[in-house]
Amino acid sequence: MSDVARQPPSAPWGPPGMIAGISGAPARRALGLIIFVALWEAFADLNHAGLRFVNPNLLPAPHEIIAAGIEMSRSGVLWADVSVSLLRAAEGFALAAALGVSLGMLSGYLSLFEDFAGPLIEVIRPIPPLAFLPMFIIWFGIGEPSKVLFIAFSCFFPIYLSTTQGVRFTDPVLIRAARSLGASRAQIFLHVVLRAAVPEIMTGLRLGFGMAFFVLVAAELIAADAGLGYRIQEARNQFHVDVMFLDAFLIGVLGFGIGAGLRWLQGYLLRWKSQIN
Amino acid sequence: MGPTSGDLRATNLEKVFPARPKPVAAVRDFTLEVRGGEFVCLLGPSGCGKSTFLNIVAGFMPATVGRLLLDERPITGPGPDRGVVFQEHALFPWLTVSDNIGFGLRMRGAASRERGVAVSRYIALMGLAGFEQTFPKDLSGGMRQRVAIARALANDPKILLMDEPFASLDAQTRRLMQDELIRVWQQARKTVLFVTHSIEESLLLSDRIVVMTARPGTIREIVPVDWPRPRDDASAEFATAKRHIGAMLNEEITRSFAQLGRNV
Repeated sequence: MSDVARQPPSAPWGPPGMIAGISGAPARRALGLIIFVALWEAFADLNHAGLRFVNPNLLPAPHEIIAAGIEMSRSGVLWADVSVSLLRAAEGFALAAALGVSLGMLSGYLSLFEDFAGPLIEVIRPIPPLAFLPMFIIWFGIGEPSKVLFIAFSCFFPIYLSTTQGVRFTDPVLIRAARSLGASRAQIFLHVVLRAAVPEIMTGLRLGFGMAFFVLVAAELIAADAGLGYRIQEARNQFHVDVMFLDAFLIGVLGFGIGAGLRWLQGYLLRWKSQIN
Repeated sequence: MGPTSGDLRATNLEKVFPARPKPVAAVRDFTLEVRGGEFVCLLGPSGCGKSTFLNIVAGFMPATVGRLLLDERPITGPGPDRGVVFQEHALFPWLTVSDNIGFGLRMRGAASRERGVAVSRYIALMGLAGFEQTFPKDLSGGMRQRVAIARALANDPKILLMDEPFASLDAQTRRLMQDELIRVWQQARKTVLFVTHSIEESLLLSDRIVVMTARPGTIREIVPVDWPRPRDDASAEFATAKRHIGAMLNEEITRSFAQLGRNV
């Protein structure tokens, strides 16, 4: 995780051309972003100043986007949108995690259940979830349930499948070891099979979370009256390109932040596992 | 250590695996008595059914025919009265050394104080002090097998079943672990059934060596080894016994190759 800590700052094999005083991966990563934003700002400002490479209304400068953000945050719209979107994603994701992990364990452990449910899931899974969005709106209306259930539906599959794999491929010698140490069937499931499946379950949860964010915005674009996706759509109608950029970035930042949290959790839960590098 | 007996009695044991074109007998007509506290090695060419016998004693698979008694009680499945040490350490990778050793006691509902006492005892016995909170991934192969032995012993089993536990270790570590095992066995006084394909290992460790035939595995000869321990592998008697067993094994290996030739 921290390749920084392992590398002495004056490492002779360090990347060349580092700015004096800044070293290490975080600085390099930040540098890439800063250069990108600076180039964008310069380009947009020149564009506004009269060079007119493109219609200035179509390409706001970063400082305009930030200004729009400050204004929306003062009026409270920003926080309302963020909290509405996050709540939806969290509810849908939690529902999918509960169902996906428990059904996945069942199907990994009991071949009878897998025989029964496997084909159905394999047929539904390849269909892009967005194809079901209209159905969800017809069935559950345009209120919260349709979006939460749709998010849950979409992220159920990766969570379920990863859990099933993890449970199914528990090392049989560990089960033998547990049996000869006096563990009951239930204990083996709880203390061996489930524990052995944690890496796959975490992978499934991370994939599921990515899916939740992906379909959240799509659902809000089509049927919502608040939320980041909705706000993008509304801004399009009012031709507020800066707001469109702002909310798209916010989605990216939130997704990155929560994703990083999940990565940290995964690293913590799997600290017993050897890792490459 | 508890009031251990650990007498194992196998009578006319047979194990047949369903296979095509015809079922394969892995073990046949296998009769063996192991006294409580005795150290017995099962030695034979690979595929001779020595691990199969050990797995039947462990309760991982039933015998097709025959009787198998541990202290006069039939073996019907795996149980904590028989501690197993596998060739690959089979430690729970998500548990620390301490938690691995305490696993059996925890499953059987032992109070955490009692567990702590047992864990510390086997940590000390197996020379694992300082590694209590280490995960198996950070241990060497020899250390992992130490933990595996401690884990099996912490359950206070009547008999220790060891399936080529040192086969994947390098020569020096292996030698060290053999000495350690004898030291621990002399303290714990458990019955040990030890599967190996190394003649030297069986001569260094055991009270008796059960030399098995090629498949279907049955007993070819039981060689008593009554020299005092620690044993000297450079001694004349060692060399004589090694030659004697080596000759038997060679015949059996030749036979098992001949079988392979027939089957291919």
